[in-house]
Amino acid sequence: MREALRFLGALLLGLLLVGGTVTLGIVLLLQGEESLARELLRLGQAKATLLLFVGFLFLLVLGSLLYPVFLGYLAATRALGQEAEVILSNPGHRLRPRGPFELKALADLINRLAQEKEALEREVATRVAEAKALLEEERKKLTLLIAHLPQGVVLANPKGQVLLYNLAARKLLGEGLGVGKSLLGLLDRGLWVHALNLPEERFLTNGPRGALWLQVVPLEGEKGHLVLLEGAKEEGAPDGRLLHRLRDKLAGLKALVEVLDLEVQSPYLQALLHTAKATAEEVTQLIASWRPKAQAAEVLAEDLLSLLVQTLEREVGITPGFSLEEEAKGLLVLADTYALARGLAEVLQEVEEAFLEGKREDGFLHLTLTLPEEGRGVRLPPLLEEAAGRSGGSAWGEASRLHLLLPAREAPRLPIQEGPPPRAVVFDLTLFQLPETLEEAPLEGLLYTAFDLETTGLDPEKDAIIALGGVHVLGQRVLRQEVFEALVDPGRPIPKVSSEVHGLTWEMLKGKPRLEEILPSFRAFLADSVLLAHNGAFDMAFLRRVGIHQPPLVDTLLLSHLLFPDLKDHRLEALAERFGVPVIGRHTALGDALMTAEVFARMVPLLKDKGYRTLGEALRACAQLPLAKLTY
Amino acid sequence: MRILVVDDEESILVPLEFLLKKAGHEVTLARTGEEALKALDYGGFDLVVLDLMLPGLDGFAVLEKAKALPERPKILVLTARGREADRAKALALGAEAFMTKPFATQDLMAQVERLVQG
Repeated sequence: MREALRFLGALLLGLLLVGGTVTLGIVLLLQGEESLARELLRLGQAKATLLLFVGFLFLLVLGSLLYPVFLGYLAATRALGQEAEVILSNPGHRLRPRGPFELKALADLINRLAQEKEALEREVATRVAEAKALLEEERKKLTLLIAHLPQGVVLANPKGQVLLYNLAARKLLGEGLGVGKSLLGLLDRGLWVHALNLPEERFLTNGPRGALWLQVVPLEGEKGHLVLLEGAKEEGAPDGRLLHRLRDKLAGLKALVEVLDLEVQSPYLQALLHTAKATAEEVTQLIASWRPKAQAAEVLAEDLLSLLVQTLEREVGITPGFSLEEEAKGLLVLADTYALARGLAEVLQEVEEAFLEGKREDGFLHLTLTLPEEGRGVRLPPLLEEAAGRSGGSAWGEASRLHLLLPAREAPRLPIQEGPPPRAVVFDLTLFQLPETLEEAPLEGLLYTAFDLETTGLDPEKDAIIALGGVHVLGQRVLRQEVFEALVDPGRPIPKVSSEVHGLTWEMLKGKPRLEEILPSFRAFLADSVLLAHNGAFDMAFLRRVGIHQPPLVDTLLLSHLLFPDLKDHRLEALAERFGVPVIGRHTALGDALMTAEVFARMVPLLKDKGYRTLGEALRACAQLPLAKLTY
Repeated sequence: MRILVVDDEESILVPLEFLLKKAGHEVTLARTGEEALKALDYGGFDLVVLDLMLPGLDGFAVLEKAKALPERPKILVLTARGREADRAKALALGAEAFMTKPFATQDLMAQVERLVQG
């Protein structure tokens, strides 16, 4: 019905067009012919019925002739559309061109598009399969790695639900451990929160299967936690008691002999006294050298105080005021922080306020907890006494005060470490899949060592190396934590011209190791990597003289000529500026090596765009450059 | 002078008793913390030689209790637990002197005399 209406519409439109044109023609023809027009109008009026009849007949014939053609065209177009739809579910399907030639052309076009789509899809599928296989392989390796760790390892999401664990963890935590289950049901919840604040510390706790050490390390970006577990054996304590008993007995023996000696002067007793003294001495030394396995960790005094206060807030809901004297700040305190906090919580159970004060006392941090004076003395919970004793300290109560003496030492002043936080050593497991030859390896799939040397001069025959610097580059990633830096005593004065370049004088280098001492470790640093340097031919000439020859060499100077043939400045600092690499420590060996590394990392995508995908392609292109023919 | 010697080790008690008596003191012996407290309750002691590791109530507890006595004797702690933290605790709890075992009998006697006289 809709089609019939559409057809009638089209027909009417055609008719209106034809009728309009005819009427316009007649009107134009009769312009100025008044009588003829009148005659024609009269004729028309007289024969109107006949004219209408003929018109209707014409319309009928035209309609019945055109209607099937119209329908057929519509049907063919629709069929084409429907057939094209098949391709969506079966990418291999192709349309059979038929009908009017426009439709045939359209079908051809659709077929071509379908072909391209199919090829594209196949490529994507292959890539996905490759990536999947790689991931699977990496997963297997990681799983194997985790499974073989002697420590229990659990990976949990921020809510504490288990994502992954190894067999050792299962042994320590028992059947309650399972993927998707919560770890908090298996461990002390308070300790969990406490441990999260101290990711470098291990805590002794009671697991479902006995005592264990717990360490919780938050993952980067707060994506979850890594939980490290180790079984804890009850060591040390009984041995300690036994040793003290022994010392007690020996002391008694010694005193006894001393007294006897006073009374009965006898050479036999002298010998006995001598032996008793010597044995007592040895046992004393033995005890002095015996250290119970530390059941505590070192915390900065200021951290310890705020940690204790936080835990008290959480456990008993009171916030004690606290102060730490200036001299005690920066002390490293040995403490079982969680046990201490719980012990203190027990003391504060029925108290509304308290004050915690930290003071330095030779070799100790003296913490005093002052409670409101209400007559009754403080009861010292055994837990607190044990906790203090475990780390070699002591605890006692005195009226409304509670004292804790914890071993402490001055924190060593460590230089602040720059650079990113520590990461896993293995960066890219695809590295395990080495191609047959280095040449065919893609540029971004290789490990490079960017390096630089400082020398006493420009002549490899006569001059000597005075500084070496290097950094590893994995594909496009500069591994800033894997660096090599060494200064060398050349054993001779350094010309002023050279000193002005790198700022190194012989006086500064006297006492540094000789090159022979440095080379083995530098060689080890270079091993299994592709050498990378700016104007590397110069550095290689020096290295060859000392027996390091490790082709191939990737030279950022040559690569720069390859990428920017029409630019004039190819110096390292110019490249750095072009690529937006900050210029730091220019003309120190490590500074230049780092800059070379960063520049190279940014060159790789450009090289790929220019069609140099593999190491071989890039090296061959470099070798063609006139500059490459230079030798030093 | 009246001296109470508290130690669970017979080999300490015997020579100490002998030496102290020889020096002219009146000596009472106790082998546990409880015995020591009982003896202290009777009072009249000038000095207590106290071991820290005792069966039952330990030396620290005795120190604390002794503090509350009306006529508190002086206390010399003599112990194999010679850690600095223990010494600080003992002194904080009111001990007058702290000696570690093993000890030379002369040193101990000198210390005793100093405390008794001072």
